[in-house]
Amino acid sequence: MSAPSPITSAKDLERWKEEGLRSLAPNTAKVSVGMATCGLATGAQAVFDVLTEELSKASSQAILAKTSCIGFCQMEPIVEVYRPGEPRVLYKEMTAEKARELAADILGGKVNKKEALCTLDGFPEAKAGKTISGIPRMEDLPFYQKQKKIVLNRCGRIFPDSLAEYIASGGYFTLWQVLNNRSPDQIIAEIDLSGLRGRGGAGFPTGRKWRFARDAQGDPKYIICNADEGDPGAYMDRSVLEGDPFAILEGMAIGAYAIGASQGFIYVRDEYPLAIEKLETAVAQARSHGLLGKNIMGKGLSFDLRLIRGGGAFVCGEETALIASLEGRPGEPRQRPPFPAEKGLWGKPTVINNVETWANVPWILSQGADSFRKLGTQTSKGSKVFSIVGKINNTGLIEVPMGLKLRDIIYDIGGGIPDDKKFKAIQTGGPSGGCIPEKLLDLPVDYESLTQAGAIMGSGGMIVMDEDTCMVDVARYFLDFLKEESCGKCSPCREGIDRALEILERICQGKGRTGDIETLESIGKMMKGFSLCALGTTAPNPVLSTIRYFRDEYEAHIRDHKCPAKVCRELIRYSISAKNCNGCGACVKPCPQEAISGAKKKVHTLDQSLCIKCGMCYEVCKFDAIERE
Amino acid sequence: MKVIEIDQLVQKHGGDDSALIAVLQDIQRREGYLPREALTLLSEKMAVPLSRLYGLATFYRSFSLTPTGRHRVRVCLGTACHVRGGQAVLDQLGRELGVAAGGTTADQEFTLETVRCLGCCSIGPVVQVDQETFGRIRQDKVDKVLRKFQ
Amino acid sequence: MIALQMNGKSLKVKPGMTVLEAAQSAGVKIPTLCHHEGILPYGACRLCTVEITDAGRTTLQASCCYPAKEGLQVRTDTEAVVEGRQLLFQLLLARCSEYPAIRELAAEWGVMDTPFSPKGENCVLCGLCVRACALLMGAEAIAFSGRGTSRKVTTPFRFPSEECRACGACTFLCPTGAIQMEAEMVERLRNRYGPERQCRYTLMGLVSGKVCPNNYNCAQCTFDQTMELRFGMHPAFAVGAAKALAAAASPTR
Repeated sequence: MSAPSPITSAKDLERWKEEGLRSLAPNTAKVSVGMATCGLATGAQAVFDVLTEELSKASSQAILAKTSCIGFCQMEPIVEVYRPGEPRVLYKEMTAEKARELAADILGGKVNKKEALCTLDGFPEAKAGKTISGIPRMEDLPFYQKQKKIVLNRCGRIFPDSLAEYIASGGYFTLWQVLNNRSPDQIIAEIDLSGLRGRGGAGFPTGRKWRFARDAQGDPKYIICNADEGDPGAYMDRSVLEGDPFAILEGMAIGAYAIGASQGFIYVRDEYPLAIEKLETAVAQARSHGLLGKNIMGKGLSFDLRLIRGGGAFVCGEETALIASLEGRPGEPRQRPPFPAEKGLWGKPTVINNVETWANVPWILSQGADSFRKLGTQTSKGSKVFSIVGKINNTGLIEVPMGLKLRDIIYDIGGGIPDDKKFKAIQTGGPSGGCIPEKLLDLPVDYESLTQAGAIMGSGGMIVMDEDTCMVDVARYFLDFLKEESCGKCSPCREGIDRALEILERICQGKGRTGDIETLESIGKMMKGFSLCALGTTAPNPVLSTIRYFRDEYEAHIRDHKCPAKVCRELIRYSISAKNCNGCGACVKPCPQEAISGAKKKVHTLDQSLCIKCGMCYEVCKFDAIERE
Repeated sequence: MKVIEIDQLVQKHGGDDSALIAVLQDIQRREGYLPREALTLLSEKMAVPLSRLYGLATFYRSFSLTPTGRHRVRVCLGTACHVRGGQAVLDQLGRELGVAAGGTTADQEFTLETVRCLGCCSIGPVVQVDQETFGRIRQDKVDKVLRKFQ
Repeated sequence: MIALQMNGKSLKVKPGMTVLEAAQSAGVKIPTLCHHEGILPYGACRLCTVEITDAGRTTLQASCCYPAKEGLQVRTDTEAVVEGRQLLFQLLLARCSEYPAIRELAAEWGVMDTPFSPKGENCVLCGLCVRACALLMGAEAIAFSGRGTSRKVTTPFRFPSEECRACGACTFLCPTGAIQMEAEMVERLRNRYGPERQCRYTLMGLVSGKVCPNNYNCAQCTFDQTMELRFGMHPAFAVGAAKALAAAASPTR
């Protein structure tokens, strides 16, 4: 069914659905390898190649397929094995050698319980209700137990290029229903009632934004998907684009219908080549089958979109800067009002929403606003995708109902801190966010709670930090990032970040002065009120939140010239422990300064005058003979 | 680049201002940087002032006005990689290659760059050389990675 | 007329004004740097920031860009505004440490010195020159390049500009005296021959076919004096209007 042929009836959709089901749940064994960016980075290609080789050797009917990220990135590469009538089995941490054994198991009809992560059931085919003893079910794994998947539902489960598999898992039935039975006003009302708030970080009520655009004067109207995910540590949008691109296309088509737009753009970060590739494939197919372009599904809606690659500027995640970029200009934000919903791209009414916001739209309209409202808190409805990374055992992407406690995310889902280290802080909201300490871990994750605590929800990146993280260095790190990314147009941001960074660098070098903390607070306060855009107004958050909760660390740096976490180079000292050093000499060659010397099997010495505190010796020593204080 | 090649790129991306960055990206990819002559031709072809193109070329990180090395070495300095020691990896690469971040080696073989978040946080610190991604890099493993490309 | 509150006093202003213009009309002083009444506001320096309560929501906003609306409550003297303004002046003073213009403006607002180390820049990145060149002359000979702290006003590749008409609007508008485009271009014009030595006002499109009789000593030139008197302010402000007239006269262009 790949020849261009528009889908214009319920019967067409049903036929596609059947084809998709046959593909997802064939009557022979099927192996799917997770090949999104995290899978590929850990070696999924080699696994796929071995499986290709092995499965084609025997005259097996087993089908080999590709899928995307299922969220448990720590366990990548992940391979799913399907057998008709049996629960699907996910295998973790695959390598080329293990893939060879796995192929043999598949051909022999065996299940390798040792390498299995979990079983899954019931998607999209009905639950078989079966389990395999010795292998936990996915919903019983701590990582997945508290999750509620809406946006991530198809990621890691379907082949993202396959329109048939998208339709078989519920795709495009919503658009069909919307175009047949509902008016634009009804759509906007439903989105409004659901309480969906922009998932890019600002949390503006989506229904209200659509209402403004619908009512605004101007033609044509535009729809934009902001896929310029720039927060370091956040890669939720990338996963959705790589794993379920059609969901964005369907969401945007619904949005176009609701506000009366005929043209759209998906603005993707330049550093996401696989996401761009997946989107291009999806768009081409959508066009071939009448799901994008003129007279969509034969129901009169005309909407098409262009994929635009960002030029490499974090500030283009800000909506007016993104619009400037689309207009062929440097990404400088503009004063609001007027807001884009009223006067946006080329001065026309424009709705910009984040990838995750668009991905929620079809689900809300198919399951109903009430189903969405049942999840979450009073002010923050629905579920949210987060990335949990940093000093955490279970790194990956999760989707949980709003209102879940931070503690649950870190310890139940995240599996706690590796190497028995002590938790110190969780940083949320990227460079616009803040660090939340241990005492606040019972906070529910919702927009208001995080903002009151001095952080923000942001796009959903959560970086876990432990006792070995220096909070002053964290503040310095974020300002360093923002200094590179500030567009430079307005003086509070450009000059304020520069001077605040100057102060933090001095502090980290042991040259802090009394009054530095107060100056940082004044600069922060001014920037929050005077800056032109959200990059500037939120830039002080990492500094202010770390001063609020970790003032003692600042004071140790300034007053005592000490870095309690032993991170800031000028404030730490490496030396060789006479007790532990056995003279193996492993540290001598790696030292870039040739600062270590000593006779074989004799205690070595480190020349402090040459030492640049790079830490190479500390990393290579296997005998704990290098001390860091 | 020749006039006809510029023409083709403009046609490919649709000739209006929203295609400007895409055209520049194609030139960057083809030439390894944005030559002044190419920008001048583009300015004439699209009737866009050269000052605007120069502004775009110097604002966006994708572009370089000077040739880059045969291999692009990108060190991730995203927050997760940073807390796991990404800076030390960058410093060691700088020492091995003899360039600062942003620089190109004298033999034009390597350009060292930083990037904020490749989204491979579970295997940080991460270094990407051309299309290959290397995870769990420690500063003492850096020379092994470089040797693959030398 | 629009009725709003300015520092607790009622004020009526014509529709279409910004909060800054409304304040100025009432004699309320607000500092500005990147603002000029002949060019659309830009909102870059942020010195004009004031507290605005709009439909119950109170925020700090740049008054040069905020439209005056019925029922707005504006305060130009709250603690947050005054303190933030002082700090911003201190930052700008440190940036442009060598040149008197910023020091004088800051002193007017009570800021005599700065705790930050001097940077020795002369350009304050207000963008008046760039905007004038683009919006008044339509030349775009200069533009911003780079970003963040490496943001600069330059010609493309820092090469002498092919587009500059030596109109001098940039020099006229620059608050610090940082830009030298007019002087540089005049030097280049002096190196031209014969009929290529066109009068600046021909290059600007305000008169046709005039050749310079004066070796570009424009400050001593009676024609230059005449043009300045005729327009009341810098002739560059008339170029846009002249272009509009020409376009109206030849609609098929």
